[in-house]
Amino acid sequence: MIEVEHLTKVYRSFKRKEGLKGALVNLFYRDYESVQAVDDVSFTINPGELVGYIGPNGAGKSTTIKMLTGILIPTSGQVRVNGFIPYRERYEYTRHIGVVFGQRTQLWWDIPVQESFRLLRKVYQIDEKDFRDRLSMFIELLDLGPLLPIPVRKLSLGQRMRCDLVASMLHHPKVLFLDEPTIGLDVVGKLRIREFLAKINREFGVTMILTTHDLREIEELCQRLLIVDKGKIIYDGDIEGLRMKYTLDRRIVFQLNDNIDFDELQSACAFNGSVRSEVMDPLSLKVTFQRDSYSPADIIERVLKNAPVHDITIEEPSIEDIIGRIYSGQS
Amino acid sequence: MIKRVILHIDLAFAYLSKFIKTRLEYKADLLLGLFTGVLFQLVTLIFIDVLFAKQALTIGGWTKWHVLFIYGFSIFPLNLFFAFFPNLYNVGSKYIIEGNLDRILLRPLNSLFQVLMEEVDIESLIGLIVGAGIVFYASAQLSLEWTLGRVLIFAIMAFCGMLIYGGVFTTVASFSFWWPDRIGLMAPLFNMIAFGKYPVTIYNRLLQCILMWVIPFAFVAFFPATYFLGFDEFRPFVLLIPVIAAVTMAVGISMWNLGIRHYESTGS
Repeated sequence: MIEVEHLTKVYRSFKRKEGLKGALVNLFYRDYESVQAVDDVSFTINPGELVGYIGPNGAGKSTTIKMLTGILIPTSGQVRVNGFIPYRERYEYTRHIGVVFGQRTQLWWDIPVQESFRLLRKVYQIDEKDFRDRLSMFIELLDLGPLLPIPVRKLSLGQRMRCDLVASMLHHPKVLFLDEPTIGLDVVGKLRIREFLAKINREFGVTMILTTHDLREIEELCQRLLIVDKGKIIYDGDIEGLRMKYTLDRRIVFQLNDNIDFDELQSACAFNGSVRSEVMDPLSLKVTFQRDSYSPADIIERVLKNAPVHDITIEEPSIEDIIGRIYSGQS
Repeated sequence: MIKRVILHIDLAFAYLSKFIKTRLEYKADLLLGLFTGVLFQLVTLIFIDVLFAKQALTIGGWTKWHVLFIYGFSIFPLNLFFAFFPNLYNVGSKYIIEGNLDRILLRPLNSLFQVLMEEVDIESLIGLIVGAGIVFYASAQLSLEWTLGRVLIFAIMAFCGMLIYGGVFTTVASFSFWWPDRIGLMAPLFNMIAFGKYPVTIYNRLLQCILMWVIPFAFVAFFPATYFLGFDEFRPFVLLIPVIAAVTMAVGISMWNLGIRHYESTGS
């Protein structure tokens, strides 16, 4: 469905010199600076997949989306979506995709929502009956009824986003690109959009790429994750795999009944060098070990044999911790 | 191809009706627009009257009534241009710097068409009534005869004039793709429009040459007007009007399409 090969985008911007003299110099001489926004990115997305595309600000997410949707022309590399080369066959291509940008609306600012929808029907030449059926289904799913007569500029962000989603789905797109669709929304608003996306992915088999900073969203929606940083893809796989790859350390905390002799316990358990154990306060013991060296059961068994334990907690780093660590470069 | 053209024509009407509806929502704004439009025309008329009353009766062999006719005609292409191309002025700021072109490029329609259709200045069409009045009055003074055929040619030439303005300003607007920091080419060019309202023969050679072959504003009002005024020595130029209109618009569209390939959107 989506094939991306060695995709690269380099922006050229010129360094502005300051002041009046600088402005004069700028007129005649420009010192260019290249920024590699997307750097040799390759991936394939199959029909029906819902893929999360995440990365820190400035990682090149939006630039990639803009190349996939045909807004920007790649500096080098190949993009094929649904058989089209996006920027080259814009007319035909844009009929088959839907795009939602959380940062700005696709609807007409000054006219009521329903007239925006009607205008889109003409733009995409959607069959009248088909249009009505789909619209009424979406209205019900997203509770849009009361919003229809209101001009877009008067809608709240959450309301506007729901309308934008519908606008992007009216013409039966096979692929839906969502660039931070829930940015700035409250919990209820996010939940609603998440449910809608899950439903149309499941029921219509729409392929989706979703960029977001909300990792809950990713965990709940996406089967697959692409993580980009500094223009390169640094992870491609599912969430479980991400945990396996980046969290080799696991941790078990034992609550103890009595104070114990720590050194004695350590020698009794006879862990190898990869295990770190420490006493947190007199009655609790924290054991940190590598995923591939011991199983949790093994650790627990050994500790139980040698110490009076009344509670055990296994700590798994959250996906946020993991990604936070990847972003800050200490993976 | 034909299907695509029909789609665009159909949508032009849809966009227009949408636009008129929103325009009617702001009635005070609309009325003020109409009022200033009429006022502007009156001031120019007074200027022409004063100019010819105080000085000689003719300028370079052109009488007051000839100049008035040319001026009256010039109102047509200019106001058609004002009505349908006002958004060209926003291309650099609203569409390129603010990134609104993203939205345009995501729809299966011509991008220039969409930009033009997103803002239409209906009030400018009122100017056509003032223009018709002036043309009618000047024609009466010059005892010009009007036939249906002449009215038709008048309309076609006014349309061609609009395309010449449209082409020139589309070209200039397209420069914003390369130099998004608003360069002030629009304003001086806007002022050059005024040169086209008077007989091109009263200017020096260089200016004449520019107005004919570089920024062909002479073909917008002056040459068309000579046809109705019966100055046959300009006939070859009159015949060139549709060609100039087509070429100017083609240059504008090509520059636009080149520019689109240069578009870099915004950061997010």
